Amino acid sequence: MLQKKSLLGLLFVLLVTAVACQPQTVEVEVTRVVTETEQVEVTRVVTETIEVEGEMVEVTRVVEVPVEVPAEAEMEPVTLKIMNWSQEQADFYDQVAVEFQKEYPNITIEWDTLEQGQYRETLPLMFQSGDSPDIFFWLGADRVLTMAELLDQNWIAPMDTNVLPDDFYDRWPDGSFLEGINVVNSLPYSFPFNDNVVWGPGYMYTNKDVFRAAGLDPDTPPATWSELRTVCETIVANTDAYCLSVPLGNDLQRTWYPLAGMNFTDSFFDYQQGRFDIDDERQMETFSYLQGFFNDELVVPGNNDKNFARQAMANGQAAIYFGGAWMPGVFAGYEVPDLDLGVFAPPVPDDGRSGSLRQSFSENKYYISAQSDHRTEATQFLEWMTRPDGFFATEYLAQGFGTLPFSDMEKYVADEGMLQVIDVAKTNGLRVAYPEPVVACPDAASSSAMKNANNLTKNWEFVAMSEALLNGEDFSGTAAEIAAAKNEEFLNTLTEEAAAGLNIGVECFAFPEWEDITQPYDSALYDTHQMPAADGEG
Amino acid sequence: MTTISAAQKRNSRRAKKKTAVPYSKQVRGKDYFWVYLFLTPFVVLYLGFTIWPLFATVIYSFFEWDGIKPLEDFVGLENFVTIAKDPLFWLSFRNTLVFALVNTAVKIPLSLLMAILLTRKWLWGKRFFRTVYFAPLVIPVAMAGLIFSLLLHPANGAVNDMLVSAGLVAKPIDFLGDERLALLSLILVSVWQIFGQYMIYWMAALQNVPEDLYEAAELDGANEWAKLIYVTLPVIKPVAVVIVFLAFVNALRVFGLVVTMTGGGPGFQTYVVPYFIYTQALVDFPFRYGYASAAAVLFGATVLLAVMLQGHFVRRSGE
Amino acid sequence: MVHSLSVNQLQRIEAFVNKILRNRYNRYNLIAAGLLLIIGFIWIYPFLWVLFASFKTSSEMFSAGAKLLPETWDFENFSRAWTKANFSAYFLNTVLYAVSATAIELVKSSMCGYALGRYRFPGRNLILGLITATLFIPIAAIILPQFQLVRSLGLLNTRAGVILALSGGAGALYVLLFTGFFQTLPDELFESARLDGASFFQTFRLMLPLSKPIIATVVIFQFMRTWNEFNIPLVFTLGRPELRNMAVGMYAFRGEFSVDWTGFAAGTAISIIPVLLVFFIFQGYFVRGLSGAVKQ
Repeated sequence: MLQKKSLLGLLFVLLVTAVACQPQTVEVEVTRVVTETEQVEVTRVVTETIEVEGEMVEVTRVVEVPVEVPAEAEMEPVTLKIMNWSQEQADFYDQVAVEFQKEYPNITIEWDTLEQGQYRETLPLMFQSGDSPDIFFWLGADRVLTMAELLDQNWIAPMDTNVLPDDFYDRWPDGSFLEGINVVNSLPYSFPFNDNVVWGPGYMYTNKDVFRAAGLDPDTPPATWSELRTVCETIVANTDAYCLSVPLGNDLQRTWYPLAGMNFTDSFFDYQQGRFDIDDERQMETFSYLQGFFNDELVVPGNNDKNFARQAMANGQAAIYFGGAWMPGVFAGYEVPDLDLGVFAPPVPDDGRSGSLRQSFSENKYYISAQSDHRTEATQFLEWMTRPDGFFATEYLAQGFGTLPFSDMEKYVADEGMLQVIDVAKTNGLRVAYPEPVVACPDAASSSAMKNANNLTKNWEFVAMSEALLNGEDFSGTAAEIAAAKNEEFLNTLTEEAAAGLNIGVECFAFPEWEDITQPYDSALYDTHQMPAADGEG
Repeated sequence: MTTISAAQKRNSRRAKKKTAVPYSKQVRGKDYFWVYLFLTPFVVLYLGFTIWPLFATVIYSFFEWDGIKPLEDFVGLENFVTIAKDPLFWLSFRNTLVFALVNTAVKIPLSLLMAILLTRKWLWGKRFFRTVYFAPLVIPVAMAGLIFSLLLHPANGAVNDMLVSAGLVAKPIDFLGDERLALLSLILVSVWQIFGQYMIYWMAALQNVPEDLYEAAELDGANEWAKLIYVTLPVIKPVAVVIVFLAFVNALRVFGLVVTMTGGGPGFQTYVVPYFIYTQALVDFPFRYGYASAAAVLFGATVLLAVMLQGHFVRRSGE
Repeated sequence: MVHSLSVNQLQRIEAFVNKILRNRYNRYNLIAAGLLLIIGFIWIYPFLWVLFASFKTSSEMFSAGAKLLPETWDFENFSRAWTKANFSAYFLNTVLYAVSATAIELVKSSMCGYALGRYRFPGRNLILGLITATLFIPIAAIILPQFQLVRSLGLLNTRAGVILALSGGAGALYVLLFTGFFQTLPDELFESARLDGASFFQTFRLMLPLSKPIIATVVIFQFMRTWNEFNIPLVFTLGRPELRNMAVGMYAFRGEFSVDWTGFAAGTAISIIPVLLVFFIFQGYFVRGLSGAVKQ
């Protein structure tokens, strides 16, 4: 009974689609003609109207449409389903839907948000049942390889370049579109959504009132490791507050990245030598430095997660919290109206900065579903969404949700904290481009070596470090054990894969020609990069 | 007197069961139709929603699979070999058993005592007290975890405030950060949360005790303790076995509190098997459904075997 | 003030106290109820903490420590919970799912438990053994196979699919309880029913009310479970978000970068009311009622 009904429904939909098919092609052509005249924004509205009324009169008022035109056949009302896990932004997406429809009256946006864990669990199910959203948000296991993974899964379709303006790519900084990362055969599949200069971990947030209470100048933050140490001792001696608020477990990364990144690297893989590096003496040095704060009770006690750690800082229980670029918005949600927030670059080792945070092509987040019947409309939406001065960009920035590479951040960001974050990132160049194994060796995309090593025990480094920090234990033995186990698994897998015919080897992951880790890896260096021996000897 | 007769009845029934099915329990004629009809709704749904997923889990355990791509990378027993060598799995295994045993040993007698007390006819305010001791159960686990993280916190948690101001400890205790205390803290919080459930089970079981047995016992001058030992416990024994069994099995599935209170920490000290499975299958990319399934199968089969063997030996030694 | 009481009054009070203490049940009560009250307060304290947290601001909630009462009563959390978690739209679904899944569960587990507890027949041990054995194995990816099943039945994105999955999942435990109960019913009861000429189904209808405590147990726990279930109502209605329930809505408090804990507390406070109500009603079933039936 039910199935019969849905079968009938399906037939009906098919019929309607068949009827609607003809005008659709017409529309595409018209639109392209118009975009060639490069009057992107205003004309687009008119185009739609012309298209609809082309068979009638040459009036360009949208208002008259519903009265005189049989809706389904001519207007093709389309509903685009979009999903992501940014639940805080649900109200904003409702506004987006309204604004977009003003320009594309026939397209209704249904933007649904789910909690991140639920989203990751259910999106695969939606694809299985053919219910996938037209546009979806996704980050793969290896963020750089997300598109390759999604292509492999048959989840994604390219954008419809017919409805993209010629200057579409110019909205982003040079080098944002790369074959294999977000482009295949010159067809774009995604675009960098958040920028990779500002967005990411690595900032030092301070509660300025705690600094004042300790008799310190809140606007002169500690710039070196020794200064941070001195500041912390002063704060703990002069106030009831602790100095650092450090979340543990996997959340320890929030504190670890900026410290390790200024000393060596925030990655547990050393891309210069091509090995897992937690036992590296520079990493151990960072750890000992951090452990000193724990041993001397300068850190908020307890096995805290990020929620508690942030709250402790906002409430004045601690002076300093290290966190990502998104923190100003998070602190704003804590309803501490008089929180005087400081945003600074992380302190560097006493003899100067000797490391960097990894900047990679990881911000390609929105994709069009291969199951979507509305690829053109989906592209139209993404085009509308990424207009540098459009509603989406300006409001997204103004409401402090994040940073965008396709808009003028300094112009539209309104939040004071967020502006400081941008300033810190740009003046300090915290992140530099690391070498990408996939670019050096295309076969690296098919290698499981990195994955297998990390799978031995997930988040091993962070969890083991947390345990040592909480219980004041020595970490060097565990570090050596972790590095040995991961490197062994890594090399074994590479050997097996090379034997199985992949052109791969540890050379694909080692970039000795990259001499200064504080400087970006120059892409010209890929030409000099040593490739693995072709016969795959192991 | 009556207690003896109850025990006799039980014994004789058990004896009969061994030799032949008692007349009243035999199925006759068209009752066969009814018996199987009565089983059908449950069995059908059980096959679909429990046995089939379980079967699928076993199948997945032979594949390297992320739950997304087609199921085609058959690896035989490789997942099991890897699991058997994974120290984190065995640590989780041990923690789960410790958790389940201690948790059961604490909650079962306490909830039984409470159930007996809350079913006394003479007690004032039964409804009120029942609701009070049941209430923690209705709080979502995520919320319960949060409250106890705050209450047990070493910086300004209420429990430490009290302990310190009462002079019981000199320094606040890090209940969830100390590797010797974290699992114990989890066990006790779990008892608090789940207590109401077992209280209800026991209350249901206690209804099986006929009132006249108590009356007779009272005439014999039995006090409350004697009534518990000689009347209550023998009568509820069959149901009690089920309840203890459920308590243990449910405790093996401990999950939510671990996520919200310790996240498996400090270090890996409070990793339990369901949490291990969850992190493997769903939390961190790449999802490892196959590996997680193998962990589930290995864990379940081992515990099941242990329980069966133990039951076997208990029975043997009883004969 | 003692000195203002006359001797007569004192005597009357003493007599009253003596009268109370003369009854041993009253003596028990003074001890038991007193203890229950003190322990009960500690026991329910974290629960009250959640209720009061729903009136606090986020920073107060995290810094309040043991303090129950908020500094200022903030009702904003509740309106935020109501709209953000979409409770108004999901309320009816939640009631429908919980009530129908509980009813189905009750029917199927009591029937199955009756057959298993009352009769010996071929296959009985197999079923009991299977139920017991499967309880041990944590099912790693339960939602995936269930999803495939519901999809192949063509029930995705329907309320029927949700209800089916909700009532299909848990029952084993309840069957064991019913089995245990019907097993302990004295044979004489069934004998007399048979002698009265009651059919199979009539006997079942006579016996079922005796299991009131088990019924109450099943209703309380199945209602609670289905009321709070979020996975099934989410996964089986992915194509139609309007079919979700309140427990799914509660997840709206978990954002990409932070959790709205006070909103969550307010949502919790709202959504536990019906569960407590069900408990309050059905806990009355835990009254010894069996003895009368046995005597007849």
